[in-house]
Amino acid sequence: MADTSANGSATAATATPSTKPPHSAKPKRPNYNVIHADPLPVVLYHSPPLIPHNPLSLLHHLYLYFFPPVQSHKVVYIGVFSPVTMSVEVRDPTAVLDLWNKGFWGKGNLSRSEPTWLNRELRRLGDTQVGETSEEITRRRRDQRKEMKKERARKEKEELQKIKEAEAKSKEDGSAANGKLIIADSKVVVGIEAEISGLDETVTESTQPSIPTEELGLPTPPPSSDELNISDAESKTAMVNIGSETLPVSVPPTSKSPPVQLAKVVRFDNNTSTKEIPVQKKVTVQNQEHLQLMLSEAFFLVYVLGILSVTTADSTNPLPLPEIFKLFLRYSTFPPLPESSVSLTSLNPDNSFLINYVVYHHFRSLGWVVKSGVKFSVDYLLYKRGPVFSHAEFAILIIPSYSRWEGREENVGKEWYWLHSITRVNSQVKKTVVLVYVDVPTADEVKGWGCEADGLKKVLGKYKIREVALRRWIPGRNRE
Amino acid sequence: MTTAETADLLNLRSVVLSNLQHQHYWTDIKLLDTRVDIDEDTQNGPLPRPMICGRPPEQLYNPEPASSTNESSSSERPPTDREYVLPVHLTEKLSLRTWASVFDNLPTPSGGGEGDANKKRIVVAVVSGDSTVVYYIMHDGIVKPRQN
Repeated sequence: MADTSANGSATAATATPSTKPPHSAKPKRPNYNVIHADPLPVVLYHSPPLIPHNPLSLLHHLYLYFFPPVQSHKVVYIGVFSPVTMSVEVRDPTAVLDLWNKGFWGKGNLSRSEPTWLNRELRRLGDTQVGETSEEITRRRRDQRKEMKKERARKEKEELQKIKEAEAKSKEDGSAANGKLIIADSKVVVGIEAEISGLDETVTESTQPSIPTEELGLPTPPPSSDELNISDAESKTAMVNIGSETLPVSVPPTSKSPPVQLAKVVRFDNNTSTKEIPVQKKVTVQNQEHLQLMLSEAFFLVYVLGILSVTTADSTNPLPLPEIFKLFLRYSTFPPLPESSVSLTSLNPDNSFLINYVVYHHFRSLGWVVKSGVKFSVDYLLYKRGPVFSHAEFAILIIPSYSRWEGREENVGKEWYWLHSITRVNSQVKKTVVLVYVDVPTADEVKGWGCEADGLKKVLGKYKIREVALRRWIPGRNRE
Repeated sequence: MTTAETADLLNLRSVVLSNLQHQHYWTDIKLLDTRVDIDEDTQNGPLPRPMICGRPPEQLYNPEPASSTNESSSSERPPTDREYVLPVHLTEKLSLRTWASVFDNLPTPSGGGEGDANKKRIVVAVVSGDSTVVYYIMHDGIVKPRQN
């Protein structure tokens, strides 16, 4: 249903091209196709296919053989493992930019996704040379929504006020016919009077067009008596008795008053004052933000792509892969596991880093951009090309499965309500929930990893992944 | 599962602290270890975990948004309520006892109002591995829902 209505509005918008001009005033969006042209932060060289009987294609390959493409050095970014944030932090600005632009790795620890804190801070302090960030756009939209809600709340109260008046008036008239009905309603009104009396002042001042009370299906006094009342009352305020309480009821202006304009207050913190100054202002701020890589992300960059080296805060020497692996196994839960409990020779296959990484590896290898799904109560979100291009289509829920384990019950402690609430949350944002079952190998299957060179590959190969896409089916709506 | 060490909890708190300070522009931030040292309080016992208190730029819980904003728009806004933030990690399991002990050892709001304004309230800051901090407001009992 929601889909069709969205489509309907979209076609309506395209059908009226005359409303285009105001859109041109919008600042142009950056060309994300150019910025994010590379899906991964690695340099690839394309060579045409080799066809043995075609000398031209052979020539190209010979050329590549003798004159390999110039690459002065292999770019390796440096990330620092931080036990405080239990993740890998990247601080070098070029590395941060590269990792974000080429594959959307990591997240700015003080931003929603792309590290934009420095720009936001500069703009907040009045720098005019920095472009608007996505957080600010969102903020503005939220402010507008808040104003809208405020306006709506005010209108609702006004309507209530009108109803009350109408009732009071008809009571004054003493129409015996609908007297009973009015009394019943006035009880409701008295209950909310405290709220209204506080608002009296604002209601009288406002130029809000009056909304006919018929809309609400409530008794209305005859229009003739209404007009009479207004002309009679000089002060525009009448004292009316409802029950035992006396409250001032204001008479609204006639319905011909001009429609009020929605007040859209857009605050840009200090920017409004600085805009008046024509001189360009430059501010310097110490960047407090870093690009934070999830453990799975960092491990993929180290182990699969080989373009990240992880160090600790103590030394600049990059850690060897087994050390990184061990560190990540330890810091996958809070509080972190003690060093003695994690050993590579007797690996715990049920470690949450291993299970999370297997799923991350699976989807990243298939070309998805995988991000954390904590805001949608799932484990991961899958983006087709990246967060700047489209919303995440799939929400990944990891469910470890212990079918190969002896005497271990499957998925204990998860109830139907849990799954139902997750699907409801995600269908609200038009995401499909995918249950990813990870068949966890037994401890015997992953034993003795430390001895072999490609042991990790073997260990990861022991995990099996099964996907089940879940969708709520509504019999009345989805008939086809 | 082992119990969280103090050092780990302090690490967790520092993550939330930097998030509140730099991303959400909270002010008047104080770090609370075991004691809530504001005024001469009557604290039942020590806080079970290190917490943070501070003032958000805008009121967090406000069941009557329309009436209050009308007053504030004209002149200077009054300072927002002091909030108590409890940092937790996404992967940790907390017992009901911990929650109860947090609420028990917090002072009752000094506003002195009746009903919902007087209920104890904490902000739970859930830290996750990708640096997202998800905040939840938790009341000590049932309160009037915020109007949407």
